[in-house]
Amino acid sequence: MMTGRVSALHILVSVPFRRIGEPNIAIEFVVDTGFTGELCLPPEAVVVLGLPFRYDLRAHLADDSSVMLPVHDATILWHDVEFEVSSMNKPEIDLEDDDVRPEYGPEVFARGVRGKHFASYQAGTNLALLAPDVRSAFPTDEPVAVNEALRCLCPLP
Amino acid sequence: MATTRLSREEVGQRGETLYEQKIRVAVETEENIGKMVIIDVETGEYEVDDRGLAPARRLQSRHPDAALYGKRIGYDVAEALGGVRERVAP
Repeated sequence: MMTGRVSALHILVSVPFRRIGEPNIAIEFVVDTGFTGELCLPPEAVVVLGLPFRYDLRAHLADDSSVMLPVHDATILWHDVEFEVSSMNKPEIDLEDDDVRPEYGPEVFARGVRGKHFASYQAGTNLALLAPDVRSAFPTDEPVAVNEALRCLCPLP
Repeated sequence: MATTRLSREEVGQRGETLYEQKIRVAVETEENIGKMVIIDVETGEYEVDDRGLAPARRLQSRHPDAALYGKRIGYDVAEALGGVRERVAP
């Protein structure tokens, strides 16, 4: 049985890599959709582990683009048994180009008010969004009127 | 060796061209769908196996500096990282 840990809703499993004549190196991986014989490593780890390059392949990414990735040969310990895996370099994604989609212009974010409801939450107030027809019956933002109205509907003690 | 290494994109383009022109008719059978074909993009040699590592090692043993392209038979891409790979073979 393999054991791992869960962090921020990700399943993390530590996988030891075999190195000839040197101690194993364990690298922690996020389990995505199940293990099918491929691991994704950052290029630095491929260099440190000295993994031999085998071939290039094309892979689809979640944003529907595709990239060419180098595949390396690696031997890991899986259930304490040596297992050959192909190891792909993680694609280098340019964060400059990975910005907010153009349809979400700066005006969308400019409308937001930071911490708008923070004080209310701190005071223990529950927030409920009123439907438009109810809202029109309470023209001010004063909560007293809403509370008065709702109390009329509460069963008497 | 004093050969100029092909860029990763060039390997991909040459591999796809070779696959379309010569290799597809030989390997794209129902029992091979989903297997990996590794193509030496300089000599045109190729090998098929369930996974890519073993055929890549065999081709590299013949030409240690071989530029190899891995293609998933019958699919648009070999792997999907978050996206999907779609079967394109009929």
